Amino acid sequence: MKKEKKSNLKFILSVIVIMICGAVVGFIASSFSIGQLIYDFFVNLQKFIDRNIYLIYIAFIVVVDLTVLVLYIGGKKKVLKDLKKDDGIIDEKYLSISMGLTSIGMIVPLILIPNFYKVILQGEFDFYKFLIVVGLFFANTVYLAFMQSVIVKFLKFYNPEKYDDVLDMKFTKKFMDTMDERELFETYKASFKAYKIMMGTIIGLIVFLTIVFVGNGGSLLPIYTLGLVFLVGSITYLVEAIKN
Amino acid sequence: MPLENKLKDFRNEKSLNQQELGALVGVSRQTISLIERGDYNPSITVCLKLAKVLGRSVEEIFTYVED
Repeated sequence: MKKEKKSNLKFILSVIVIMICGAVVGFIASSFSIGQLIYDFFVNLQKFIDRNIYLIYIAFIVVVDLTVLVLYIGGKKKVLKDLKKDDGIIDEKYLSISMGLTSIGMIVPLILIPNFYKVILQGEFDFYKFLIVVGLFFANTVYLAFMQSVIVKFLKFYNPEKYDDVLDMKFTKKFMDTMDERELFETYKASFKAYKIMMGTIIGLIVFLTIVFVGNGGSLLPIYTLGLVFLVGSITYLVEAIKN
Repeated sequence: MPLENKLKDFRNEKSLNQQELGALVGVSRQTISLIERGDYNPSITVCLKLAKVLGRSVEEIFTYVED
């Protein structure tokens, strides 16, 4: 009972301290127009991206694709060396990072595509640049899907029980069915951490965008979109938690 | 971790490598390696399977050590 009272008091005090800190920071920020500076920073960042979108797009794809290949080659060498020992831990760090990068390498170009559409709308359309963008997009996707398949097939080489058909629409479920208890535990632990960080980031972004909206106007759509993602995440977590 | 084990000793007695023991018990070689190092505490199901394969009792393989 005493411990409960102590933690309740601690919580109330923490909320009061955070509110006071928030008020002080807000006062200082408004005195130096920090909100405007932050807004200007993001506007300038958007302009920079618009001006250099082709270079950013090509550079990102080249760097990620090369990194995936280098990490796969290095990771495979490391694993083969560890397997020869017939005992001890197999270091799969480089292979895991390589695999993770393939997903990032596929998603980020997709996020950058609307910028090209913006360039077209502004009348700066260049047919050859358009061909390069589209060609690179498909080539990048095919290459990364191929690398995913190569990495999983290598994983199966020293884990024969693992499922290895990455083109199967149910690949994730079938792969997880071949995981042992420790691998599942590590996956769930990582997923929960990612969930917590993601939700914290979403809340931070909602607060930030609200402040920007109040200060500078604009669309509420980004805030509603983030709110929807937050709701879906929270409801999914709740449903899964009360299932059993 | 408060669980110590003699898994490696009993595995060597049976002339099994980590891959083979993992296949018999239904876990990966990596998991067997982490159990032997004391970096992972297996579930009771895996403990019982290990005991059956190695012909030992769970208490012979695993020992709980007070902190």
